[in-house]
Amino acid sequence: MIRTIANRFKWNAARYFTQTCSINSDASLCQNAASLKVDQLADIKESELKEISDPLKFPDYFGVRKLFRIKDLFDARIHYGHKDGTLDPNMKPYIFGSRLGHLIFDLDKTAEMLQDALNFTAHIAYRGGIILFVSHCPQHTLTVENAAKQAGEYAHAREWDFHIFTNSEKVYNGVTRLPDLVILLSTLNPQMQEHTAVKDAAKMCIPTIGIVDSNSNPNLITYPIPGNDDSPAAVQLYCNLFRDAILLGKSKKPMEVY
Amino acid sequence: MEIILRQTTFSAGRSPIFRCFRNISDIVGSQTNKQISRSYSDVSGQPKSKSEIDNNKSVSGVENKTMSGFGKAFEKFSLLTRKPLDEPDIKFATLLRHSKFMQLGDPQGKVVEGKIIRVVGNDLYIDFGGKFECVCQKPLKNERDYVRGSRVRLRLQRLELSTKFLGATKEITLREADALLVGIVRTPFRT
Repeated sequence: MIRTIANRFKWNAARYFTQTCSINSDASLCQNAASLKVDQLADIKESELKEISDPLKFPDYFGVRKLFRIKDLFDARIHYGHKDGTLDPNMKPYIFGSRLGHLIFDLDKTAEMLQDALNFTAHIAYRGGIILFVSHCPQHTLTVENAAKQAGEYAHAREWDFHIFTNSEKVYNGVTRLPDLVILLSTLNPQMQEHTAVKDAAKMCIPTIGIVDSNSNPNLITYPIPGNDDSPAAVQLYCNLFRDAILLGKSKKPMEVY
Repeated sequence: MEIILRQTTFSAGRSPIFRCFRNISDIVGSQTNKQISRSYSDVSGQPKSKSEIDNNKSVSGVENKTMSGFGKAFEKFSLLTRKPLDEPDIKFATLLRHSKFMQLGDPQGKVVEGKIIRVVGNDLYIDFGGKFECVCQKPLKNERDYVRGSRVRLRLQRLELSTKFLGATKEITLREADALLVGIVRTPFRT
């Protein structure tokens, strides 16, 4: 790992030294100086070199893993699912078991998928992407809209207008920039059918993060998070986590691209 | 072993060294604990204050569980500043096994305590810690007591109202629990 970075520095260092070599304009001399510098660079800590390179090379650049623990998910009632009769077959891998007909999510799997989703959110925010919070549950409208406001991003917590993604130019009377990420706090609408945003985001190649309950279908969602989407405590926790991830992403200044 | 643990708090506060010290004590035995602690404090380079020496003297003789002075203060503040992330994460299976949900068993007929979170006309929306809240009619007796924030006693019927209708393959859920209002526990108006 260090060797590849050092090689990259060799090229950059050579360029730098040839430019600043005013005393002796002989190119070979300057290159020798560059090679000496590279050996010194190799002694620099790997962590410092990593800081200069791409944040995408890190598994958890923004530290989203520290935002929550399994106990927090448990206290927010995220492990509660619906009943056996409403189970979507695609959700079976994420279910821990059934207690007298009531389904329980495996929080170990949920935690892993939540970490991936939060990491993705932070990276999108870091690169200046537009994030849209979507929810159609009237009970949670205020929670979702507040979270978006605090994060400095957008929310659509009302009835979904069918053409806002697919026919945006006609709806908004001009060329529109669609969101770079859609976070669905609930993938079902009040009629218990799949929310239109899931299908439309997939059509427009917009990545989605979605909280999928035991009665939802996770197939079209890029980063599904199996968990409870009905309790207000659960929705509040998700909103807080996504808001914190976005703010973490925005807090780090994007580095200059050479 | 507890004596050794407390002695280490005087000399060094970093947790990895703390743990390592405990292992040494297990192997070596309780006789040499005083020797080890003294040499360790020399290594740390901290000047021994009078309170530390006093504490060492009091502890070395008899198995004394009470601490005083610096040791007591150190333990108190180390607990306060210890971040929750430093403690090991409890596994989900353990949390679930010891949860109230498992203890409840069959919800039918069980008496639980809930909190009124919303009042809409004559309806009370009560949250008792489950996935959904239940909706109950406001009783005519002691109507004033049933306000937002009151704690009430409920007899649960079902945790989720979902049934299969004739001819359907999947159940339809009302996203609501079913419970009977038994009485009031605490109301914010009266003490």
